[in-house]
Amino acid sequence: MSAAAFAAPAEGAPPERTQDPYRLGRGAGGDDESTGHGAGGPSPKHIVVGYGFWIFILADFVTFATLFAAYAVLKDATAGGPTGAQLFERGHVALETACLLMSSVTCGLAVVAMRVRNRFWFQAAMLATAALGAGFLALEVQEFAGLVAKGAVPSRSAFLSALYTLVGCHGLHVSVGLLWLLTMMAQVAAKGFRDDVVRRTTCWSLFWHALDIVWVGVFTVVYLMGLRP
Amino acid sequence: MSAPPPSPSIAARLGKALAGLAGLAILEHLSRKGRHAMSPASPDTGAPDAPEGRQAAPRRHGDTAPGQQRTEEDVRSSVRTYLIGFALAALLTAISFAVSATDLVYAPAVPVALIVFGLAQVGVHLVFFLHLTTAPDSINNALALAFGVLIVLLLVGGTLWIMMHMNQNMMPAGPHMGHP
Repeated sequence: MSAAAFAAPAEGAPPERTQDPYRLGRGAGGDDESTGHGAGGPSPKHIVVGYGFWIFILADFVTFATLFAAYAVLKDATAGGPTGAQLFERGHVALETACLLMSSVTCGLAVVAMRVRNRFWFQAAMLATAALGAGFLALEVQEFAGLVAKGAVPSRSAFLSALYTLVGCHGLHVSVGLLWLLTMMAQVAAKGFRDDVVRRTTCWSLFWHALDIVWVGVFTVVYLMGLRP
Repeated sequence: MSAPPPSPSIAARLGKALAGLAGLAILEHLSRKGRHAMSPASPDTGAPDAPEGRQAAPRRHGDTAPGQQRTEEDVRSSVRTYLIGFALAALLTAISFAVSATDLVYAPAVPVALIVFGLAQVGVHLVFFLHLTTAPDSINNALALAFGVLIVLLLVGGTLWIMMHMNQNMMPAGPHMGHP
């Protein structure tokens, strides 16, 4: 099907642009007449890749939703062991939250620097993101070590099992995101802002922002609600 | 953003980098202007014999990738978007912590207040960090998110609903079953 077939002018018909002012991938025309590449065709690769990764992130949200649901059901099943109000420290959580929130901002700045292809600011912002992410992880490991020292191990109660599963799963995601971040720094340093490197970095930034969104749920549901008597 | 630099060499470097950023932004802006200026002719003619320039020019598409900022934004306004988002998110976080730590809110309403502020912050993250809009070019992203939210609500809501019913049915309040 050729693009010309769609563009056949009829008397008094408005031009195609007014029917589809945003041209959602249609009617833009193309040089390739083959299926899926002709009139409009599929979106460019960076959009398809980003959208696919967005679907993955939404699936990840569903995974976290199951863990949140399990935690909400089991949070009072302390089996005579310590409760959240006895274990959590508000200041510690505030520090973790600050680290992750600021890392989300520096992640965004890195993406802006990438868009204008500025290596110096990209690496600087990525380094700041890595430092803040590592700080978050260190605080979380410290917190878990403190819990274990108090005897609040995962096997103590269903509440603690759910707590370690939910918060630990988030921490695992942050660890993976940190490794990915360092990989992208190295790839940009070695290969520059090549198209594939830019696509990967964009996916990583989606991942990192998503982790911060999940953390909003964690500090609200687990810590702030758990600290209420 | 630009704190007073501690030494002249770093200042020079900062200045150079900033100038580079600004220059690149202007270049980007100009090249975009150029594309816009010539684009109305090419896509709408629909002529099979495309002019030579069309092959080199990137195909224009209406979709926006998730997390992608509009390309019309220059560096300064992009950075401002992130800083506004940061300020709002920090404010909402501070309010959440304050609500949970003090008696500002009527005690039984605190969980609801925390959930409301949490959802507001998620909204701030989606808008200012992930640049999600309901504009036609990002409607695919918004719809995918809406479906994800539906599944999450079904999962969490359904789980809580069923488990609360089970608790009510299996643990009738009695003096001998007060605490496990």
